[in-house]
Amino acid sequence: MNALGAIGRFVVDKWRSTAYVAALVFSVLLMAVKPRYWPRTVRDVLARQILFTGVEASRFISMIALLAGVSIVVQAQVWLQRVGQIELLGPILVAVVIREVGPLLTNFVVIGRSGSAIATELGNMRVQGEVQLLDAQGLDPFHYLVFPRVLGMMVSIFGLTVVFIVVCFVSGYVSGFLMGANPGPPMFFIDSVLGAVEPRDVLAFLAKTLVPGLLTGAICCAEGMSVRGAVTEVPQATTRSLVRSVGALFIVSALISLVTYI
Amino acid sequence: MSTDKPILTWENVTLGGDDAGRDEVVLEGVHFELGAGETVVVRIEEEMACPPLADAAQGLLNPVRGRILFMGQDWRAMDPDTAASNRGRIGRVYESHAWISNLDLDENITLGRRHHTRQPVPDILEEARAWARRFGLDDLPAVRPAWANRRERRMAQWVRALLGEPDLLLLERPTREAADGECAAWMEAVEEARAKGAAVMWVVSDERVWQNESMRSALHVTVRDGQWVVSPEKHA
Repeated sequence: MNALGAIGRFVVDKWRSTAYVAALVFSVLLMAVKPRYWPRTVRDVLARQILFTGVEASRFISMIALLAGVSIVVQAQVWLQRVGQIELLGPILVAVVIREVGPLLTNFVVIGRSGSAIATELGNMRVQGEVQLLDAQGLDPFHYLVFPRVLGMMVSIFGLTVVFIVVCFVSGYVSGFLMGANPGPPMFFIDSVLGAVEPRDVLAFLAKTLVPGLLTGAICCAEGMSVRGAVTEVPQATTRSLVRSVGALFIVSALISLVTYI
Repeated sequence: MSTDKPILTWENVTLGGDDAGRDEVVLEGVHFELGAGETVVVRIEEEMACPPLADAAQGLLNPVRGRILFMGQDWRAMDPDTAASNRGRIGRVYESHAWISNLDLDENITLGRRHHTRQPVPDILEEARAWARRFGLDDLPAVRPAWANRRERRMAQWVRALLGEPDLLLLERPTREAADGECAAWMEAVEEARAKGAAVMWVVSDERVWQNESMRSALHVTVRDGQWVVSPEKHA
């Protein structure tokens, strides 16, 4: 009975936390379409979040993409040429880089770099009474702290994934050329990739960047704001936010792949 | 803002230590009304922690018993947007936790005005600089709160509280550690705000304020053993 109760409690807890994050995301999207929720202070926070999460991470993402391009694109060129199936280069690169590796690696980097920062920052703000200070000045903490951060994460992950894909393909082509893999003329390569992109690939790309971006932002904000008053709660909240964000990323990616391609 | 209703009304209020009233009662029997230009001065011992009067007056702490009304409306009956907008009309000097640590002091000072109004930022900054100069600062401190000295932080709190002609001023021992000259400049500024219609709730431990001539017409109250004791020897 105790074991059954523990399972039941576990399921109910998971369901509650999932419903809470879903409600948070829904509230953010609802606010985003109402102009009165866009005062200049909130726009400032959004811009800072995009600067920190998106712009400042673009160099690191480019470096990862460059290395991924060298390993993935060059290998694809070499092996497909060996088996005489070079016409499959475009579809394979779209499936591997655009559908899976690009969104997944970008989300990982952003979760580790910015998700943890958000949870820690908000947790510390709770401990230091800064959240109540905002409330006292008439700034709703959800509106001022959570709303722009969640949207900033979503926009940044989308932008960074585009950067990742472009750098990955360029580096793959150039390194293939330099290593004598004979990737053919640039236009052939570009046509081969672009020609293989189907509408469902675009849909999957959008879903795999925007949805996990929203969820990561919401989970990290929720965990940060869940800190009550002890400094020791902050690292615990940060760890929880990372674990839950990575879990959500894999679940969402798998679901989107299932829905889009099967 | 001109209104017939009192700006702040406390009706037989009992305050607990937290929002759910689970802690022991920290203050009871609070009953008063503040109209435009009126003041209540609440004296507490120097070593005593500031009672959560300002939090309650802003609707951040619900009373265990009684009602607190701002502009005739009970905080508990307001929707969140109205409550937030009303809090934007209140200037406050905080005893603790006064700053957002990842914003510079000048950004902290103007945050509320930038959020609640569409007044151009240069105009807000100009008004803030004028107050800062009156209090003896050369300019608004553009550093993180942790890097500013205590005097700068105190002055910055004063500037923030007075910015934008608030309807209500909630002052938690604002003159603590202030030099006599600074204290006089601050009292003059509060007097000006009152003349423009602000109601003032001022928690003091400072005899300079309690005995000050400009406080003659104020309601004088002492908090003693959790009781709200209106001084019979009211100065007026």
